[in-house]
Amino acid sequence: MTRALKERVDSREAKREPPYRTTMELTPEQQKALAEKLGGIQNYNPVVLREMARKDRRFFAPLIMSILSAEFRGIDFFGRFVVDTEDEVPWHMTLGVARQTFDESRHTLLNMKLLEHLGSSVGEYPDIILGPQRDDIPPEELDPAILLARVNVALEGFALTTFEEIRALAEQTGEEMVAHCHDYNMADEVTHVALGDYWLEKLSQVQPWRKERARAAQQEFESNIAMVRQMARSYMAASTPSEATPSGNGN
Amino acid sequence: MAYVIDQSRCINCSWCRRECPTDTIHYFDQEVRKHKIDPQYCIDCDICARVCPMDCISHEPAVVPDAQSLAAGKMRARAWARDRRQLKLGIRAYAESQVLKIARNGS
Ligand code: SF4
Ligand code: SF4
Ligand SMILES: [Fe+2]
Ligand SMILES: [Fe+2]
Repeated sequence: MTRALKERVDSREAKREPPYRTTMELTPEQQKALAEKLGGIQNYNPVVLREMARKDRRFFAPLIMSILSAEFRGIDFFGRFVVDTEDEVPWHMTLGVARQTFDESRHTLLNMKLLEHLGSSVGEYPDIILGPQRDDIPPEELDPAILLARVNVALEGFALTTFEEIRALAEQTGEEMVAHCHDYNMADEVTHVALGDYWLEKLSQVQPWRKERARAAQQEFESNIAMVRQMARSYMAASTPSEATPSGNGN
Repeated sequence: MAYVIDQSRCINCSWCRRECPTDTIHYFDQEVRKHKIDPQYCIDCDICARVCPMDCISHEPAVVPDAQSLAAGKMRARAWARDRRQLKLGIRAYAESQVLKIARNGS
């Protein structure tokens, strides 16, 4: 009889301190340098960076770093999922998620190379963390189906839209490599979303209460997006100089 | 007239749902885990069909919403369009002002 995966994984704690190096973790000097590069550390977010990259290709690098951050988190999430839920889910689900973990590590390599192609490298920009960290999730929500529901819509589903938008922007601005890589990346995410959908169904068949809870977790994410949009609206209204009117027709 | 999604080809990317001006594309509350258009509030704007990366949304002349729902749909769409355009232009203007600021500071 083979030993459970959990037992085979080295039992030493694998912990980075801090686990992610966000803008908050930077020294004041580093924060200042970042602010100079981007016009303020509040601009270090994919929504603003995408529009900045439209204007000046230099901003593709921090934009790609923000994606790379999410890929790192993908490895973390799915890798942990494989080990943590092995006893609770069918073995072929474990296999599927392990494959997904492998995909995320390929995406990481892909984006690291892309970052170098854009003249940057890992370390130049900090991490971006969207959504709750694993440690913030209450224990009763650590059910495999609910975890999967969150990540399926927040990380994977969101990646589909984001990658497609970045691909379109890269194509418009002649960044062929960015467009190519994001097209490639998107193909994997399609599989990931489909896998998540499939297993959410299966897990909910065994435990019907999971369906409602999973839906609630997903809707919570949607309302968070709406909230961020609202915050962006008021922030921008307060800080955009009135002489700055955008070029183009707003599409 | 309304739009329909070919669910066999939908990849659940959610793009149509986030763009639909009348909020009539549903996902979370569906029996089948696929995106679905509720034709009652569909105003035939074609936005979803244009953003769908799978090209799996099409116009279906046979599906007709009732007049009252359609009018409500149009009202939602007007509010959405105003709001969304404002936000889009806002983000773009802000981003441009930041790029200009950085260029001025010579970094
Ligand atoms: S055609 Fe317009 S109103 Fe109808 S579902 Fe698509 S986006 Fe929504
Ligand atoms: S945009 Fe197309 S593929 Fe994406 S969720 Fe809508 S119908 Fe499905
Ligand atoms: Fe990925
Ligand atoms: Fe993924």
